[in-house]
Amino acid sequence: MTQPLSSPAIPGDQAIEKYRIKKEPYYLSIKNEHALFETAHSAKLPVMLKGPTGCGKTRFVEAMAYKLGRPLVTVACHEDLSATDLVGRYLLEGDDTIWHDGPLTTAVRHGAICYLDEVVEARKDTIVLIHPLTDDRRILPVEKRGELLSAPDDFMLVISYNPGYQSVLKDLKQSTRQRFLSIEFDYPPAEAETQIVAREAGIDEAMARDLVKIGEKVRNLKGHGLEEGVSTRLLVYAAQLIARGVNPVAACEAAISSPITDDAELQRSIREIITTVI
Amino acid sequence: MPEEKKGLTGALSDQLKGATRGTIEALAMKMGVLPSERAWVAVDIGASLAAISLKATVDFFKAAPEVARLLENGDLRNWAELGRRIALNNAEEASEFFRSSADTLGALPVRVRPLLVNLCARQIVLSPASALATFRSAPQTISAITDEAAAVRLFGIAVEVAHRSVKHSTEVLNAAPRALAVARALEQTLRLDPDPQAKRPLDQILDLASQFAERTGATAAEFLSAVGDGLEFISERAEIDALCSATSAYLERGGATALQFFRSARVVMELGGRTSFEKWSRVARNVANEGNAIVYDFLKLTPRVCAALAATRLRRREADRRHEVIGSVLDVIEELTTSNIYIALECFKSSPRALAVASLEQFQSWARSGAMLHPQDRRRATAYFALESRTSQESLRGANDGVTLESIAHLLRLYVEALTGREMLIAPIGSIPDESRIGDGHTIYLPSVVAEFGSTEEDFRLYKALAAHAAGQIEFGTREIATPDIRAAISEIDAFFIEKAREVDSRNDPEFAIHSEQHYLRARQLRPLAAEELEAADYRTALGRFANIGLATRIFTTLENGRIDHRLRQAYRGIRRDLDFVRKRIIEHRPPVMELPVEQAIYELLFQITICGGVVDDKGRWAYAEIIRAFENIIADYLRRDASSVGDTLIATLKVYSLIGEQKQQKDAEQEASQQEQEADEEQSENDEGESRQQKRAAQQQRASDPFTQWSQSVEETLPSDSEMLNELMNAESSEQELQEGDLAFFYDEWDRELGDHRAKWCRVIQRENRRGPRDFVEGVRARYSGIISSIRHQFQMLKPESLRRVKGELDGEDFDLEAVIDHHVDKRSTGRASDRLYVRRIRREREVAVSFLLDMSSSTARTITRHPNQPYTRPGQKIIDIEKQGLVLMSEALEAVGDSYSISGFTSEGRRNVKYFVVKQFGEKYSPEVERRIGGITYHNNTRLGAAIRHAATELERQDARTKLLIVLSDGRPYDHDYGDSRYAREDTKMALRQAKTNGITPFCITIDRESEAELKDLYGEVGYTIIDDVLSLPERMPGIYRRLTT
Ligand SMILES: Nc1ncnc2c1ncn2[C@@H]1O[C@H](COP(=O)(O)OP(=O)(O)OP(=O)(O)O)[C@@H](O)[C@H]1O
Ligand SMILES: [Mg+2]
Repeated sequence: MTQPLSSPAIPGDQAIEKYRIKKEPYYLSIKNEHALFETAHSAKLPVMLKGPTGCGKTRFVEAMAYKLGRPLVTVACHEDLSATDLVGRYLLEGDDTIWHDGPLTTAVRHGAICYLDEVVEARKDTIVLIHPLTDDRRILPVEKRGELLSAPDDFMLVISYNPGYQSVLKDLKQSTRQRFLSIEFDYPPAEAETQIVAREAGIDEAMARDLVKIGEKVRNLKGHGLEEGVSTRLLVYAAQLIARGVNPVAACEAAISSPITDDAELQRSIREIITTVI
Repeated sequence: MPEEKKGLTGALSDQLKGATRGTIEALAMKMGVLPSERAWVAVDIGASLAAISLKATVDFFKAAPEVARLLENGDLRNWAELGRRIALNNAEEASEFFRSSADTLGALPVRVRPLLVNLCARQIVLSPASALATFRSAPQTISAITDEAAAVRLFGIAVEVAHRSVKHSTEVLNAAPRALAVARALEQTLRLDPDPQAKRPLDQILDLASQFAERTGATAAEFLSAVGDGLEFISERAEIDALCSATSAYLERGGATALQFFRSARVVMELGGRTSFEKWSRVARNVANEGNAIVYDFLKLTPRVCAALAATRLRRREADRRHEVIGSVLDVIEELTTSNIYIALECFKSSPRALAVASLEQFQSWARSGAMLHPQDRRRATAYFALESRTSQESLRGANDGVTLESIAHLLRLYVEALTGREMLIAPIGSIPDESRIGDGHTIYLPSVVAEFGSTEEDFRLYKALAAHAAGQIEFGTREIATPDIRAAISEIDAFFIEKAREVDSRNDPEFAIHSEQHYLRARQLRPLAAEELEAADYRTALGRFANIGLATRIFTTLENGRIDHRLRQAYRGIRRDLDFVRKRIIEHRPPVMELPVEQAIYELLFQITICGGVVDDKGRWAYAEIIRAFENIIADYLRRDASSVGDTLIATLKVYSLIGEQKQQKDAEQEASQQEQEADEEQSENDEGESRQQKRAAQQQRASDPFTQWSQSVEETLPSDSEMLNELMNAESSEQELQEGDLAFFYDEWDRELGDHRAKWCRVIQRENRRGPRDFVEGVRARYSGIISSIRHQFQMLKPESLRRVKGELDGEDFDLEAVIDHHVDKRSTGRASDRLYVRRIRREREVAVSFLLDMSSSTARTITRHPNQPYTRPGQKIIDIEKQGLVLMSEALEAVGDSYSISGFTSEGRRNVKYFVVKQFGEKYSPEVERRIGGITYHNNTRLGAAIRHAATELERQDARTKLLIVLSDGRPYDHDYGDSRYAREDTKMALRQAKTNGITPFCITIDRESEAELKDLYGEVGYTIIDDVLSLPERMPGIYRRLTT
C-alpha cells in the first residue's frame, strides 16, 4: 500500500503540507533540464523523464518541486496499482464513510507536481486514467464522487521511464508517450558525477573521481554481458561505505560488481577494473 | 693453290646452280682464306644445304670463313649441321642464324663456344626453337655469369642434361645466373680464406649441380633455382660444406629426394641455424633408414613446420630465440626417433600447435610422456600428438604450470573492453585472428602462457599489466591521427633533417659527410607531406620522416611505452601496484650496463630510464653520467608531464635520436680503432675468448626472450601469418556440398578457443525439411504409451501457474477481491452507486512459452541400448535415436495439451560447411499427420557440430514472441565433427553458443544420455542446465516431467 492511502483525507492545506519539500534537495544541473522543466510547468505541459536507473531523475523532480515551490506527490507504479488507488476511495470510520483522496487527486486539487515513477509498470487501464489530465483538458474525473476536477495551473504531471529494460511487453503505448515532453537523462558526465558522489557521501574528491572512473569503465561493458551500466546511485552507495571506513575495494565490490551482475567472469573483470583504478 | 681454288669454285658452282658467277667467285675467294680441309668441309655441308634453301646456303658460305676461325673442325661441322637443321624447319631463320653466328660465337669465351654448339646440336633434335633461343641468348647468359670457368662448367652441365631433357637444359641456363650470383655473394660474406686447397662455394654448388645432372636432368635445374632463392643465412664456411655434402649424400636416394633435402635444409638452416641443421640432418638420417617414402614426407613437411615454429610466439627481432625453439624441438624429435620414427614425426608435425599454447619446457615433457604412453600404438599416439586426447592436453599444460592465456582470455577481453570502451581481440603471440576482424589497435597480443612467478595470482598480474598497457595505448592515443601535436612533431623533425643537410653541405667536409650520409641523403629526398597525407598522419608517418627509420622506431617504441606507463600510473592508482610488481621483475633482469658495447649500453640506459624509472646499476650511472642526465631531462620534459601525447613522444624521439646520433659519431672512430685491436687479440686467444663471448651472447638472448621485453618491442611489428600454415598442417579444408532444392543456407561464426575469438561465418547451416517416414511410428508410440499419454495430458493441462496471473477487479472470477468488496460496500453506503468488479480471476497471458527441441541425429545415436543384454533376440534393445523419437512423441502430446508454442528439429554435420538442420515441426505449424510422418522419418547420419546447430536454433527461437524461450538439446554425447578441432575446441564452441543464447534471453537446457564423464558434461553444460538420463530407455516417459520442472 502506498503511504497516502492510509492517511486521512483532510481537505485543505494541511494534508498537502507533508508533500512539501522543506529543505532544498541537492541536484547538480547537467544541461538545460531546469529551464526546460520550468517552461513546461509554466506552459502546463506534462513531462516524461527518460533514462537509466539511478541517474538522478527522482532527485531532479524533487529539486524542481522545491524550486517551483510546489508540493511533490510521488507514486511508485506497480502491476497492482488500480485506478482507485490513484484517485481515492471511501473508507469506513466508525459508522461513517469518509472519502479519501488518492495521491493523484491530492496533487490535482492542490496544484502539486505528481510524479509517477516507472510508469510502464502500471496496468494499462490505470495508465489510461491520466490521459484526460495530459491533454489540454487537464481534468481528472473522480467517478465515485461524480466529480470532475480540473487541474489548477500549477499542477504538473511527470512520469519516468527507463527505455533500457525495453521488452515487447513493457513498452509505453504511443498514445501515452505522445502526451509528454521528454527530457533525456543519462549518467552525469565525469566531472559532474565526481562532484555528486563526493558531496552525497562526504568523501574527498580524489576518491570520488576514482569511483566515477570505475563507473565509466564498467559502463563500457554494457552490451558485453551487462544489461545496464552501474548507476550513479550505486557509486554513491560505494562512496558512503568508504566514508564509513570500509576498505575501498571491498566497498566497490559490495556496491558495484556484485549488485549489477551474477556472472562470475564479469564480476571478476569488474573487480580487476576496480583494483586497476584504486 | 690455283688448282685448289679452281676446284673449289667448280665445286661451288656445282652446288649453287642459280647463283651468279660473281657471287661464287667472291665466296671462293673468302673460303680461300681457310685451310683447305675446312673449305672442303664447308662445301660438303653447303651441298646438302643447297638442296634446302639457296639463300641459306649463300649465307652459310658467307659466314663460314669467319666462324671457322672461331671453332675447331668438328665443331664447325656441328655448327653447320645445326644451321642445316634449322633450315629444314625454317630457311629464313637459318639465314639469320648463319649471319649472326660469328658475332654470337665471338662474344663467348673460347672454351664455351664448342659447348654451346654441342648443346644446341642436342637441343635441336627435339626442339629447334629452344636450340635457336639458347644460341641467341648465350652471350647474355655468359655476361650474367661473368666467370669464365663457371660458365664452362655450366654449359657442360647443360649439355649433360640435354642428353635427357632439352627443356631442363634450357632451365639450367636460365636458373644459373641467379644461383651463381648467390654463390658469389656467399663467397663475399665468407671472405674466403686463402687456403687454396679448400673448394670455393661456387665450385661446390656447380659440383652438386653436375651430380644432379648426372642423376636426373630435371633436378639439376631445380637445384640451381633453389640455390637462387638465396644462401644469405650462411655465415660460416663449415655451414655451406655441411649443406653440400649432406645433399650430395642424399643423391643416392634419387634426385627428387636430394632436391627436397636441399630445399628443406635451406629452410632449417635459415630459421634454425647450424646446430638445428645438424640435429635435423641426424633426424632425417634416422628417418631415412625407415625407407624412402617416409623420409621424403619428412623432408617435405619440414619447411612448413619450421616456418610455423619460427612464427610461434616469437617476433622477428628475436631471431636467435627462434633458433632456440627449432633446436629444442629437434632435440626432442631426435630423442623420439630412437624409439619410434612414426611417433616422432607425429610429434614434429604437431609441435607448432603445441607450442602455440605451451612453453618449451611444457612441450618437452608433453612429447616425452606421449612417447612413453603410446610407445608403439601409432593410432593413439597420433591422437595424442594431434592434441585430441584429454590426457594429451592435460599433459601439455601441466597441472599448475602458470596461467594460460586461454584460461583468462575472456576475462582480459572484458577488462580491456571496459578500460577502452572498444571491442578488442586477445590473441596469443604467434597467431593471427581471422582477417576480417584484424586491424590496428584492435588486437592485443599476449603471451600464450605465463609461468614466471610460481603463483597463479602473480602470473595473472603480469597479464593484467600487459593488458592494461595495451589498453593504455588506445586510451592515451598512441594511434592518434593528425592532431596538432603530431603535425608539430612532424614539422620539427623535418626541420631537423633539413638543417642537418644544410650543415653537411656547408661544411664541405667529406669525412663529416660520410658520417652523416644518411641524414644528408634523406633530407634531400624528402618532399613535404601532401595535404591529404597530413590529414592522415600518425606516429608512423612521423617516424617515416627520420633518416634512420629503424633507429627512430626503436627509440620511439621505448619512449612511447614509457609515456603510456606514466599515464597509466597517473590515471589509475591501483594499476601502479601491478606495474611496480612487473617493473621489479624487469629490473631484476637488466644486464649490467658496463658489460654492453657502447651502442647497446645507450639503448639500455634509455630503456632503464624510461621503463624502470632510472638507471639501476651504479657503475653505469657513473660511467654515462652525462648522457643519462640528457635522457632524464628529455623524459621529464616530454613524457612525464600531464596529458602528454604521442606527439610529445615523437619530439622526445627526435631529441634522443639526435643525441644518440652525435654520441655515435663520436664513438664510431674510437670504436673502429679498438675493434681492430680486439680482433687481433681474439685471434690469438680464440678459444677462451670465443667462449666467453658466446656466453655473453647467450645471456643476451635470454634477455630478448623475457616476456617483459614486449614492452620494448616495436608496436609496429607485424606478425607472420602462421595460423593459415597451421591450419594447412592440421586440417584439410572442408568442401561444400551442393544445396538441394528448398534448402536454406545460413552462416554462423564459430568460437575458436585458441584465437580467443570467433571465426567469422565459419559454418554453413543448411536448413531442410526432414524427410517423411511412415506415420505408424507415431501411432505405434501412442498405442504403446497410451496410459502414460493420458496422464501426461492431464498433468499438462493443469500446469503452469507461472503462466497464469491473478487479475483483480474483474466482473467474474474464482474468488472475491477483498479490497474491491470493501470498496463496493463503502461506496454503496455513501453514494448508493458501486462498481461490480468484485472478483479476482486467473487468466492466462498471451503467448508465454516457446520451446525448441534440438535433436542430435549423428550416427552415434544408432547405438542400441538394451535392458537385457543376455536376451538379444527375445527382448531386443532399441536404438538411441528411436528412444529419442518416442520422447518427442510424448513431448508433443504434452505440449499440445498445455498449448505452448514449439518446434522440433534435428541436426547432423559433415564438416563445417555442411551442418544440416532438419526441420520436423516449425513454430506455429500444426501437429499434423505431416509432422507425424516427419517424426517417423528421423534417422541418424554423420557428425555432431553442436555449436552451429545451437546458434541456428537460437536464432530461430529469438524471433519468437514469448516471454520464456526454451532451447532443449537432446544429445547422446560430445560434440564432434571431423574438422571441429579437438574435443576441447568443440566443447568451448558449444559453451560459447549456449552462453550467447542465454544472453539473448533464451534458456538452454540439455538432456543427455552420455554417462561417460560427468566432469566434461559439467564443463559443457554447467553454465546452463542439464540432466543426465541414466536409464536411457526411460527417456520418453521422463521428458515431459523434465519439461514440466523447467517451466514451473
Ligand atoms: N544531477 C544530480 N545531482 C545530484 N545528485 C544526483 C544527480 N544525479 C544522480 N544523483 C544521485 O544519484 C542518486 C540516484 O538518483 P535518483 O534516485 O534520482 O535516480 P532515478 O533516476 O530516479 O532512478 P530510478 O529510475 O531507479 O528511480 C541520487 O540519490 C543522487 O545521490
Ligand atoms: Mg527514481
